[in-house]
Amino acid sequence: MHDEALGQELTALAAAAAAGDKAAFAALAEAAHARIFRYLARRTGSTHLAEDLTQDVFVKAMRNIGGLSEPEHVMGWLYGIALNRLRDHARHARLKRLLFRSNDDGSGPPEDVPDPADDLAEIARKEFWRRVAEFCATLSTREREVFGLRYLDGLQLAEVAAALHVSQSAVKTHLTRAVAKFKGDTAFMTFLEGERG
Amino acid sequence: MITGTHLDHQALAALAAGEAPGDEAAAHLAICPHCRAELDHLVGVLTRLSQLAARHGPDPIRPLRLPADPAPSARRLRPAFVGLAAVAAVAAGLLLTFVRNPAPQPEIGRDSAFMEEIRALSEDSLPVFYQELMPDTEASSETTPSKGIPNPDSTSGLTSKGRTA
Repeated sequence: MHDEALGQELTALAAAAAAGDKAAFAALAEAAHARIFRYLARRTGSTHLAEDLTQDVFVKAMRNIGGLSEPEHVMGWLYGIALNRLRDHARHARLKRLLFRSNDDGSGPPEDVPDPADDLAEIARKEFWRRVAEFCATLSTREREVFGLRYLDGLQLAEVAAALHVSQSAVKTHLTRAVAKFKGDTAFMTFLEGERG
Repeated sequence: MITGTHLDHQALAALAAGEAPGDEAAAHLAICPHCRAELDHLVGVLTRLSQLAARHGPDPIRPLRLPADPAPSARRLRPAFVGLAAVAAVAAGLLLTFVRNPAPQPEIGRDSAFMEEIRALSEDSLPVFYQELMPDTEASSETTPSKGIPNPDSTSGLTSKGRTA
């Protein structure tokens, strides 16, 4: 979840990095690395691919950090770069598939995630994401986008708006629709309440 | 907003999503423990969802490797341009083939289907969430450009640019 102190620390690092402080950028990247990786893994379904795309995102961020105008929304800015990287990847994968008749678009099932049937934590993890996917399938693409960034990636409204380059009121409109569907999905709500930890 | 004696489903969803309550809803919330409990419950389950998503998400294996000096000259061509150039090259190739050897009718049908596929490529569309879990939805969205992601450059949907700080 988004933590107030962590947010302030990220903002300070982002402001320093934008002013040319290389060490501040390295610390910022370190702090944001796992979150951006998780987002990309969730969106691509492959941790291998997510590792590569995450690397690209931070190299691009390093080149463009000087143009960051709102350091307080640095996470939204980074998610925005990640989203663009995903778009480029999706375009390239489909073009490659079409031109070379190849099915290897790098977005297959995560081949490196262990699947031991007797591992309870792994079963819980799979069941959780299966339920999430089931619910997300009931959302429109835009509702899914904002709902995912807000509740699965833990971004604040302002950060979601920064990532998608839209106004906060547009985010709220789509989020309200998604939350209304969430509230109507009593099976999913009950499942979440029953999960321990 | 208020149906019967309580806030309706939609109003509660809007409040949980972060909309500021209107005067009527605020006044009602102030005096109605039932609606406050409903809202707290909804927000609580959404928070639970965030906690579980964080706990069940994968962790990166490799550390980040940042270049020592990100030289601007090393900047690659924007992938979007590369994609467009490739589409243009294929289109030009097809056009040449047509001009040199006019294809018989069935061929034209097939080629126009091919061109349609290429056109679909230029539409923005993301891989669907959790592809490994939802193979069916992936297959359907691949062929439905209208289900594209909210592209800031597109003319539909989330287009308002006025970002609030």
